[in-house]
Amino acid sequence: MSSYRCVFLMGLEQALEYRVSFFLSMLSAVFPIIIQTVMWNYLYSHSDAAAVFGYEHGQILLYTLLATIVSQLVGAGFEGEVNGDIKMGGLNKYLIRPMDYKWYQFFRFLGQKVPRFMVAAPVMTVIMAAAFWQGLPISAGRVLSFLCSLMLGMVLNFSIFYCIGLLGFWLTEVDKLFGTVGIVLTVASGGVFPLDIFGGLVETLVNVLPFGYTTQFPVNIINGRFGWERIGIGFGFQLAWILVFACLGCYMWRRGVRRYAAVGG
Amino acid sequence: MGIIEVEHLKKEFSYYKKATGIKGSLHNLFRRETLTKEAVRDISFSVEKGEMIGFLGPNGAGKTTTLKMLSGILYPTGGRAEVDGFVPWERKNEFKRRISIVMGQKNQLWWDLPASDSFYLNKCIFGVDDGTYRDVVTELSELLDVRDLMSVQVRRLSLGERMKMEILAALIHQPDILFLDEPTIGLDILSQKKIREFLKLYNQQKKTTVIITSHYMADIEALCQRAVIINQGQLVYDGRLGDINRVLGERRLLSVKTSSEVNPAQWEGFGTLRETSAAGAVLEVPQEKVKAILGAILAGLPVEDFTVTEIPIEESIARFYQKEVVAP
Amino acid sequence: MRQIGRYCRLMGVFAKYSLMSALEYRINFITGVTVEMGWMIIKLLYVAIIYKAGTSIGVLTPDHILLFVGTYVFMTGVYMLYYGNFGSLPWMIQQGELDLYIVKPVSLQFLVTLRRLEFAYLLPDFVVGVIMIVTGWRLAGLPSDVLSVAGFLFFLLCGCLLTYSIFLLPYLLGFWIISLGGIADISNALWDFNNMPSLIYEKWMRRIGTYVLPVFVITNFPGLFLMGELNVWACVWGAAAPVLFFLLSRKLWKISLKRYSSASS
Repeated sequence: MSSYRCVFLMGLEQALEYRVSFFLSMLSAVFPIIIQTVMWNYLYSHSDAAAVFGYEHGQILLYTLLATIVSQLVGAGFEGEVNGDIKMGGLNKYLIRPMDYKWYQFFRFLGQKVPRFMVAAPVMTVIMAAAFWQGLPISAGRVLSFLCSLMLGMVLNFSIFYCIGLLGFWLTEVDKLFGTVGIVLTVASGGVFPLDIFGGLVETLVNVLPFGYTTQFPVNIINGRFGWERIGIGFGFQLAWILVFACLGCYMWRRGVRRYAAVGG
Repeated sequence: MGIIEVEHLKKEFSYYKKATGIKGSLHNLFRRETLTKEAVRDISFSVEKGEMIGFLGPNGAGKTTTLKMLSGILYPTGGRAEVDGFVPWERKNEFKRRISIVMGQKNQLWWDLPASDSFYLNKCIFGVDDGTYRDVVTELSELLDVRDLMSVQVRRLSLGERMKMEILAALIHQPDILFLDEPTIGLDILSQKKIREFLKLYNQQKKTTVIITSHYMADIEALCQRAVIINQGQLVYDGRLGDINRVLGERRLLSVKTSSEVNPAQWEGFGTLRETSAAGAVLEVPQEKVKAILGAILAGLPVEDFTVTEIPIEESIARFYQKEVVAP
Repeated sequence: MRQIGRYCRLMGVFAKYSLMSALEYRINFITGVTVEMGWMIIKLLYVAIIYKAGTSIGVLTPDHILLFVGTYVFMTGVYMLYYGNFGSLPWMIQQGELDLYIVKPVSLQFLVTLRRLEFAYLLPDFVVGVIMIVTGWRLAGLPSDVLSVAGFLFFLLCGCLLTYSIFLLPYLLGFWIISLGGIADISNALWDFNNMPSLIYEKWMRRIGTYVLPVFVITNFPGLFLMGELNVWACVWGAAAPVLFFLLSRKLWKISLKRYSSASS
């Protein structure tokens, strides 16, 4: 366990290294929120938007405030490194160490999340408190469910991106598409706007596909859009998708390493 | 008045101290410690037109910094310099057209395109007319033996070929003064030799003034009549490379072979003992005493053979590097 | 005049070489196009929401907004064309890569900031932007006489110069700070304020964004001119701001460069 702890601390230190960048990156996340808030306020005060989009005004604002933060918290970014290890033969050193590669990546992932979480936690607390003041139905139960779904969302997103990284075993140029994949999945997970506002087929897809369960689902728990029954079903989907991607990751890893060894790294 | 005049040139840098570990990172987050480094302390020299001089010195001695100040890249902290009638760091376009700089560690060529495209770009940048451009490229590519490589992407060239192209690119506008910073770094012996031969020829034919920095003595020895040795930001020697030993006081190495083993203590009286073995010894002695000492040794010890040699130049230079001596 | 001709010719050489280099790596080119299309999805989502709500923003109908966002998409492409040079500026400063450009008898700022052009980003933004502008123009029934078109193009051109001048400024901090990731994030976030027409923002924000840090001028003035919403003074400001900010960027560039020449090794 101590080696994982070390890796965890290294990730933490890396993230703290550049002072100005660290603060400004945080600050820059606020800008799109301002733009979106302004837009929603305008639309909700000038039309019957609640009926059109299916979100109450307060719900959509809370969504806007929290989605970016949640999206950042669950966000990956290690897939490039996984791919690089496969491509450049960096994997060799993990294959001979008594350290499981997926756990190595997982704990590093968590380590790099800590500074973000330390900044995000008080901000989220303030936002939730303010939302509660404004009359949103935030309760201890919802907060707890939100935190649970957030953790599961991180695990799910890790599993998804771990699989994407492992694609490098088969597709040599796949890393070139990581940027695009990252953006598209952020959108698909509801990290920018809740996609179920568009209704119909889009809403059904969002509810069935795994991506919404990394970001949109946790946020819709806390803003009170989902009832308890819907939350229960959501957790079912979340766990099921984690299971699917974890199994897929293990399967890909086994097949990939065999292939890697055959090719000779 | 030389084409380059340098007086009391100084350059200081400040930089941050980086503490290690997580505590250091947190500390750096709020407060940093500033340190100052004197890269060039007080350098003066002058270069005549058409001369080819070499800057020698260990890594971090201040050679490159001096070169950068002379080419206008850096501002000095103190002192003055005049290059071809200009103050370099005023960076007048007219000045820039008269100089050129090649840096062994950097490249100005477009990586994914043939070198000839980069030459053409330099032609446009320097405003060289079509005819001159064609002549220069034809002539230089012939001299550098790279005619067949003109349409190969730079990234496919070997390091040596790339350096030749860098030099060619730097000469498109036919500068009066050429600065070369470690042009042979990392190259194989053959490429080094080729580049040296080219530079020598070019300097002789075009009367271009050349300043070259290197930490390979071979470069300087082959190319330059005059060497400037810089160490820790100070000029420690300026003169012919071959005269270094005279400056340090003429000393000779006396290698003596004996037919039987001699007790090391017996050698001590004759001079500074460099090495000793069962088969003989090497002594360092002042030149004027060579005769007398040799006579004494021949008389007292079972000498089989002997040779008298000068101290190798590398060794003398190394003594400058270690600051054992400073030029008068 | 001869100077301008020389710079234009150099620009042509840069464009040609950039394109030739890009075609050496076709996969990267395609990657560039897909990433930019990923970002475009987000921009288009805003328009989709506006259309879904069917609300006007002040005098702007959704069709007008389509034209405004189209201008924004188009301008993003133009900005992205040379953005890579801004992005690599901090790296060039640290590695001393400016050395070989300083000794060239051409403006260093020109060489360093416009040397490499990224057509992969320009392409999708250009195509989609133009389609959106033309569609919005048609649907909104805006005039298409010579004066209107010429005015629109004029302010578009002003916007290009203004974009270059304003968004270079944060990257000049690269002469002082090692890690610029945060600065880049924040200036990109600032750029995204144009994702919505400025009319959606509060009056004080609009004032700041028009007269202090005139990012709104970039993408709003062409459309506003077309709608006859710009008075004479606004037109003058729209033409003067680019010049003023360009001069400012020149001045600050020179000051910053002094730092390079005196601090680097």
